[in-house]
Amino acid sequence: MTDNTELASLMARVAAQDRAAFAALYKALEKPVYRFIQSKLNDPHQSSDILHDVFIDLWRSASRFEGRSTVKTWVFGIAYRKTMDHFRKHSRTDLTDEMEETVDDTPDAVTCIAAAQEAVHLRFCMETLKPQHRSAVELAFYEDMSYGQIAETAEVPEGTIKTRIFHAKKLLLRCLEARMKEART
Amino acid sequence: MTEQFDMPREEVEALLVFLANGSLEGEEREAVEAAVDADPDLQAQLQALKAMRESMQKEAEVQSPGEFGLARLLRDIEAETMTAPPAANIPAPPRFWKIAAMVVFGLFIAQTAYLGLSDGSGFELAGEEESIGVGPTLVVAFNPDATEAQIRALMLELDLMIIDGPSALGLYTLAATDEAARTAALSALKQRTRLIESVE
Repeated sequence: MTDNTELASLMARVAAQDRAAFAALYKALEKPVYRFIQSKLNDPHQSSDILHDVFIDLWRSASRFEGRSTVKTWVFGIAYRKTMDHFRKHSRTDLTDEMEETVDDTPDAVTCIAAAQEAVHLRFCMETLKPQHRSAVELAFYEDMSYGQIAETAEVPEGTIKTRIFHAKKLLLRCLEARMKEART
Repeated sequence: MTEQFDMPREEVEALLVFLANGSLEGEEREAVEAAVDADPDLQAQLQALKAMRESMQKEAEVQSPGEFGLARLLRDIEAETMTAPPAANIPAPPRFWKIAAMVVFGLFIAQTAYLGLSDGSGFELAGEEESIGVGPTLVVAFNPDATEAQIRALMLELDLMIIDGPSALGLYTLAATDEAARTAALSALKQRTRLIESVE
């Protein structure tokens, strides 16, 4: 992906209503942003509509980008809010920040390694996470974002992201372990 | 040596994800690495997390909207630009430009009427604003959907003239020829709910 200096320069041109810069920005960010939305909605039509709204917002509000975060974080932030709004409107899930029941048993990480290599198991286990937790893991693993960047994207304190990641990781490992045990029997 | 003990176990476990994706830096990275070195379970967790990241990144590319999505965006942006005032980021009351044109037109007519009256008609009007022959007034808010043509037709029908507006709230001041005309217009405007949001 294009680096942040280049993206920031494109943003400045988009703020001046430069369509060519807008197209370049779209081409640089469209796929990862779409993947991020689609991984949560699992509906290509709705995901395309949300992606469209994200870039329309970007066009309208580019002049408000102050460079305090990276362009990628800023754009993912818009996508994050729109995706979560979609969940809220469609009441697809409980969006409170309550954590799942504490997992007492520590999963056997060694057993999980093999399962983690199997995309089908991983996809299944990711689906079991709450949207905010799944988003944090996806931003970390698809986009290689730091916890600070994920916190900016989700507009929550860094500590919240660490907590979400802590719980999500435990649940994922436990789920993968169970899948592996099931596969063996 | 003691770095791993400075960071709570839970935090080390959370930050393992960021060690796996390579975004952890500085002292945090050192502390987590030290903790991992000392704990076989953390090593296994880190390995599992790296495997997860690799699996996710290897996943088949998504079929995104691509060029079609861009074409749709550019079309919508074009349509928005055609309908928006030139400075798209500056909020303006609805239909400002078309109504402003009508205000200018109204003032032109009023001034013409005044010049006509003062040109040898024999009487002079006192005062400043009243001197342009403006009669009793009404304050209205037009419906956002009302078109310029509809508003113009309504003004002609009721013999009203826009003399001011829009205010910050989007209100317009209309002048009637006399008090009787004003009363009749007030009653008529109250009936036109499709064009008029409020009138007083």
